[in-house]
Amino acid sequence: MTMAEISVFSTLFGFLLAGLWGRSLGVGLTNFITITAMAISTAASAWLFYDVAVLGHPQTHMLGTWIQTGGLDIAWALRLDALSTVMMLVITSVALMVHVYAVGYMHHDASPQRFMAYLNLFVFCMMMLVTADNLVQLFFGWEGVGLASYLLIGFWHEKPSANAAAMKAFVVNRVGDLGLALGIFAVYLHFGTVQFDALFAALPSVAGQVVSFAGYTLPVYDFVALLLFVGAVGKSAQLGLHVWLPDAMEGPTPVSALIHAATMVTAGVFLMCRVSPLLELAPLAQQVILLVGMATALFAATVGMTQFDIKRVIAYSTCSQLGYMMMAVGVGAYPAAMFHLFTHAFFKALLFLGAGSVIHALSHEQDMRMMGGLRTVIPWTYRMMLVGTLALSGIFPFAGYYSKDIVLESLFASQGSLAYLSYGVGAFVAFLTAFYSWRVIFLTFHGKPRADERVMAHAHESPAVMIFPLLILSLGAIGAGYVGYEAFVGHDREAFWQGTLAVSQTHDVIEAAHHVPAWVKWFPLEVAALGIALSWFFYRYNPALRRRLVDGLGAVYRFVYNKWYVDELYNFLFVRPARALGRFFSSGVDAGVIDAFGPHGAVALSQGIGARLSRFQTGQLPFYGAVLFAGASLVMLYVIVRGAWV
Amino acid sequence: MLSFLPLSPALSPVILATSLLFFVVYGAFRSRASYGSVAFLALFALLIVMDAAGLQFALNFGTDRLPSLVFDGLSSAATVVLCGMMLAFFVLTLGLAWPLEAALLVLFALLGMLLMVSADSLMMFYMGLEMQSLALYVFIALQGRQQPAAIEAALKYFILGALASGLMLLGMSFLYGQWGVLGYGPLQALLVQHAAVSPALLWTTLGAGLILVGFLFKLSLVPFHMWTPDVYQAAPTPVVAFLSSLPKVAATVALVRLLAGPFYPLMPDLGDMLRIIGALSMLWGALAGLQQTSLRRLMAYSTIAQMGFVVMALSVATPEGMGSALVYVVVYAVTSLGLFALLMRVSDNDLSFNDVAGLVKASPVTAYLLAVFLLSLAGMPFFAGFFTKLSVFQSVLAGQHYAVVFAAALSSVVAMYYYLRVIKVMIFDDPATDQGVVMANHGASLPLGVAAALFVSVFFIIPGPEMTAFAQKMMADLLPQATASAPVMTLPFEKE
Repeated sequence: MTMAEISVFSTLFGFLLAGLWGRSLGVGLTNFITITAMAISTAASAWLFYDVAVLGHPQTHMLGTWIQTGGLDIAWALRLDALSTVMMLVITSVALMVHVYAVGYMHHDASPQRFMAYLNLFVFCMMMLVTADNLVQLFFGWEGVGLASYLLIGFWHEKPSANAAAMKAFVVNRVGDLGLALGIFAVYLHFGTVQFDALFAALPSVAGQVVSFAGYTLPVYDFVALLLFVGAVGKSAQLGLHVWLPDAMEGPTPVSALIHAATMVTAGVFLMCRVSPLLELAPLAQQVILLVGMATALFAATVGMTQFDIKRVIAYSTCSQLGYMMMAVGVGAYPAAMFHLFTHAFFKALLFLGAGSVIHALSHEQDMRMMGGLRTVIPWTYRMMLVGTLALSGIFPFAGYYSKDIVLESLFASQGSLAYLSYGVGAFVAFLTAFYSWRVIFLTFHGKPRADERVMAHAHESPAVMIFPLLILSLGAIGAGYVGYEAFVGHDREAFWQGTLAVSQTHDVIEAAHHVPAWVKWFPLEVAALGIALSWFFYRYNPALRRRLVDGLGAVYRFVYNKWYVDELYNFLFVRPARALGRFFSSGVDAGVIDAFGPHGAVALSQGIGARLSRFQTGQLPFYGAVLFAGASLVMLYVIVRGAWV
Repeated sequence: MLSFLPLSPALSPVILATSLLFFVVYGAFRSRASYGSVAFLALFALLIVMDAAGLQFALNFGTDRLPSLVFDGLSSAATVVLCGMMLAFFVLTLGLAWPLEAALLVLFALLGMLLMVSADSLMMFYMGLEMQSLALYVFIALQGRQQPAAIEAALKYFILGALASGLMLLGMSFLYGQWGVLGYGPLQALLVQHAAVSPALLWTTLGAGLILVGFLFKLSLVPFHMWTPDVYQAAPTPVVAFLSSLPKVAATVALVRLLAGPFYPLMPDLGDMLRIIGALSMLWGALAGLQQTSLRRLMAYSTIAQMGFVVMALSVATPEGMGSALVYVVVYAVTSLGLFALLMRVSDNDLSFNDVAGLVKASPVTAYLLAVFLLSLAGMPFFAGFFTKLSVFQSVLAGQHYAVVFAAALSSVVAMYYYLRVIKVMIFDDPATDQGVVMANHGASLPLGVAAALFVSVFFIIPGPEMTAFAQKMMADLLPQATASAPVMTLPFEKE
């Protein structure tokens, strides 16, 4: 049993124990088992991170053969390199905090054992995803986290909205997963392997080859990269397939923090970084990624400005930050993307758990219009939220400042026609982010309480078991940027990444990013400060002006408030036609044809014949006698006819 | 030659007849004689009869012949089975307030049946049949004291039975007129010998067909089944238990004697007819049963379908087929006896589905035992009904008669519905009334039900394999040797 196996599989055991026997083990023991499993996994991951990334000992553990048929050879293996161990460190450390937090948060729930079991399952699948040595095993983890996400979003299955959200997440992700599956097929088709090293080695073999598809001709690199990116769009909630993420907030808040902020949604970014050597050869795909990332960041930030559900605001900000990461991927600044992923995990988990603490204090109230004035009531939560918000809005020296800056600088430094546009959009989004994240703080913690008195009377600071994880995460939100900077994107980056992230031969974006003009470095901080100031102005100093502004913007405001009507568009384009088709097949074809002529038809026929046959039984003796004679006559007729014929 | 050894198998009917005479005298001269006392005494007589027949079996006395009677393995086995069921029936009804005559009548019916299964001539067979039938008509009518509907049922049964008997006699007269013999042996020899002489054989086949009509009536096969639902519904449950078990076994054995003996050369023709009738019965019994709401009426249709299986198996005229048919009918009779015995725990009267709804709450053991019988009737593995159906299917498929097997499979599927429906109503439905199903306490019916359920459920260990092997071996001995596996007889008609 190596450290790698311990780190990945301890949560599987936790899940099996808690899932199968949680009911009989009881809440306390189940919590102990799952958290212990999580802690073991965390310790092992930290050790591996130190060994692999810091000391530089990448390694691959073969676990066994999975599929071996013809030229296809897929193994179970744990691939430990800088990229995967960074992910493992993020996943396990955030997950451990979330596990501890969940003990307090789910205290009053009917079945916390099931919840903890699902959390363990999620962590196991996520670890399988990031340690995968080939695309198929990655797909296994990919689907596994999708399943865990579905189960956890719908955890409160007695709530119809939770069920709907879970289904929505699952179905939307299917679209992305289909793209990923097709991408894996295309990889195997063109490169003859799905194992990463073999794939990267085989990349030059298809240079210059093109794929003709639906009248378009695409280089193989771009074709494959775009298909894989479709998967990333689904999982990382990029514009187009983002609709599931805000609804996923129906799940318990620890789930939102772990899965829908810190880890699972970043799997798309991870996938893109994993196949970065391929992306480097696919300029068209890179441009698409950059554009999609840009659109997502802008879209989500605008919507986040108008929402009132505290968790939805944070969800849109997650969406927006994922857009940042994708933009970095799009310009080939993979270390910057990973760095932002790294810091974002801490401060976004912190924000979500803080929001959970607020919700917990206010008896499950999520609408910010019903909050306000909580600063003194829940001071520790307030402080932690403040740290998270400062990090999110990119204020020095919090973690978000470092990572967001390097992303923006990379955008500026990238070659290509979109460089300045993307930088401009990125800076504007930074402004919006600062605005709406402080809007949350002002609406929630400042001003007069808007919750009714009974709720306020019950409002209380969360127990230590919930505050403690916030403290730990806040350390990450404060220090992760400063601590990680040199290793991730600074001078030590080449030694740190050990070649797991591709670097362009012609134009090292990260290197160039360090040499951008000074104003480029200062500008994001300035607009963030401006955003905070405006937020204070509109929400604290002069709310009347804000209301006038909202009224004045009328149509624009409604457009943004209704999330650009994307859900309505999808309802019209896909959901309603699909439902109509489903109704047609279920009531028309299935019930109308198959059932009507199949089972129900047979039943009706049998019953009908039976009813008719029963009518023979008149009870009248003469009739019975006649039947008897008729039968005898038939017998005689048969004998005679048979005799004559033979 | 008749041997006068004290344990001659021929003693079985003789002992029974003697004891019957004693009972008649006893009943006539002793005022305190009741149904129960006669039935109790009859238990001993039956044990002796079973002993005599069983020893024939065990000691293998071979075949004894009296004029018009034959005592061989088949008749001994049938005697043991019939007397065993009779014993069970008496145990079941011992406590009933029936008139003394009822006991005498069922014993007369049993005597008739013993003659039927041992008959070696048409006349002896007819006598046995009539003795059985007439006794049963009166037996049913006797119930009219409590249930007036029983009189109507008895009358219907009597008149239709008389018509069927008349047709049978007509058939016999055709045969006698043609060949001048009544014994099975001489008739068979003549038919084999003159198989190629055509005009004579038309009357022969006609005669055989009409004789079969009588059998088909007794076995409740379509289109001679009309009496069955009415009688099953009108007669009291213990009477139905009797009607649905013993006479079916006796008639099947007697039919086997005819089909394996004198009618064997005609089987290529009669076989097809029997298959058509079997298929009709299976389908009719399954389909018409769907609409029933009375349990006993439902069981009547079930009987019709089950007897279709028996006739289908007989129609192939191989040792396997006929052996399967014999085992099938015995298993059916035991199942039926057990099922009606358990229904008596609820009521002697007819029961609708509502009356047994939620039975499991009032008496779980009754409901679950009934479920065992119903599942066996439906042919569910691993109950006896599955194995007997399986061997029937196998033997018929070996003869490559696919159409009738298809009908049988269809019938099984459809009939499954009503068997399962009864189980569902008993076990899963709520009682129709607040006080639930009221049980009538009936001493002996539970042990009998348990015994029959044991027979049905461990059948594939004991005695199923032995019974089947024995029956098939017996039929292999009984069927003409040269054509033991498949009839190779040329068709008895010529185009003229």
